[in-house]
Amino acid sequence: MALTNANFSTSESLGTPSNITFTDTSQGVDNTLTVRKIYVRLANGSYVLSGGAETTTRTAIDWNINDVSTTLTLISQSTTASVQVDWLAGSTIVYTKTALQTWDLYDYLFGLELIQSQTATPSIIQDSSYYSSFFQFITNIWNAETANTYGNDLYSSQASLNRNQYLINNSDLFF
Amino acid sequence: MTTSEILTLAPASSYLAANAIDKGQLFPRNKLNPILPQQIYAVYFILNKIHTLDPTNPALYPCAQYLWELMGRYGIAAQGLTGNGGSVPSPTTPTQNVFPFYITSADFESDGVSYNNPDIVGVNLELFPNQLNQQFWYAGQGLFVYTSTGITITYPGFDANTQDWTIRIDQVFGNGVTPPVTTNDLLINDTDSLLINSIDSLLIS
Repeated sequence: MALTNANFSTSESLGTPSNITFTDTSQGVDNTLTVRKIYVRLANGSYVLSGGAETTTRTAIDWNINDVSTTLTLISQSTTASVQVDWLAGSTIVYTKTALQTWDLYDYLFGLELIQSQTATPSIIQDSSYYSSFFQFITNIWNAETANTYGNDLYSSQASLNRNQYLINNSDLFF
Repeated sequence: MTTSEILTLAPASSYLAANAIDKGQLFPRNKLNPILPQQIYAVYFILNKIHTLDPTNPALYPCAQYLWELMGRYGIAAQGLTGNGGSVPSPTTPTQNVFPFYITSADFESDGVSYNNPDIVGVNLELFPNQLNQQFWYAGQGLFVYTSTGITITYPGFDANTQDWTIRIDQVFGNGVTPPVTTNDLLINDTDSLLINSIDSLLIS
């Protein structure tokens, strides 16, 4: 038997957006497999380790072959990464799958905070640059997702998220 | 208005607002908020994502109500587009009033007295046979009876197989017509007297 379509998906949760859950969505069964390995490469070329630390050395995160899904603490801000998952039998790579993943829930949660601020203090929108910054923020999220989905462009996607991170870090100035 | 309903209406209300602004360009005194469509969609964009991940998130409801306020009349208008704003009654074909209509001897069953028609089942009827001048037939007079499929003529001697009949059938509203009761009592009180002499005779039939 073999996997007919080795694949995976990732997801975030509202409560802990720093955690990324990897789920094996492969079809078929291959009893020869012994381990999965995850490589998370950022736009700056670094690899992310479980816990969120970065390294310039290509380093894998092990994923137990018996676990359909695994949750790892990887990020502290919205991130697009090139994720490679290898399915190995011993030390031999039998299947591999690489896909861009955009984890931008941090940005959505900040957007929710902005809306909550609007509901609690409606006068906030009278600040001269409020809406232009807000629209820019929304557009950056959309650009990051579109760069991934349609352009498969890790760097443009991360650049959009970095622009949002700047707005978040300097929110007193922009909102 | 629930969070889910508001989020369903928001995209449509955004472009309805945009359309209103575009049309408003024709009128110099138009004062519509020029960025309202973007405001609606930006708030929707964030809330929809949160709602997808966790519909029970407590922050959603007040924010969704804020969005509903932003949508304003365009949210109401969007209800007409999404089917949430009431409904238009579906036209139905009214039951055609088949009465009055005429039947002939050819319409009767082979027994010559039964006439079957689902349109008359359960309906109070009056029959007017053209061959009998000025005489309506009503049920209960011994002239016809209702059956589960129509009527059966009980008029003495009636036989559509050998006689040429044309009968008008009409509907009677209410419980039908009861023939007036004819009294044949002869009342004589204490002061009156009924005198019969040898010349006169009294015939009581």
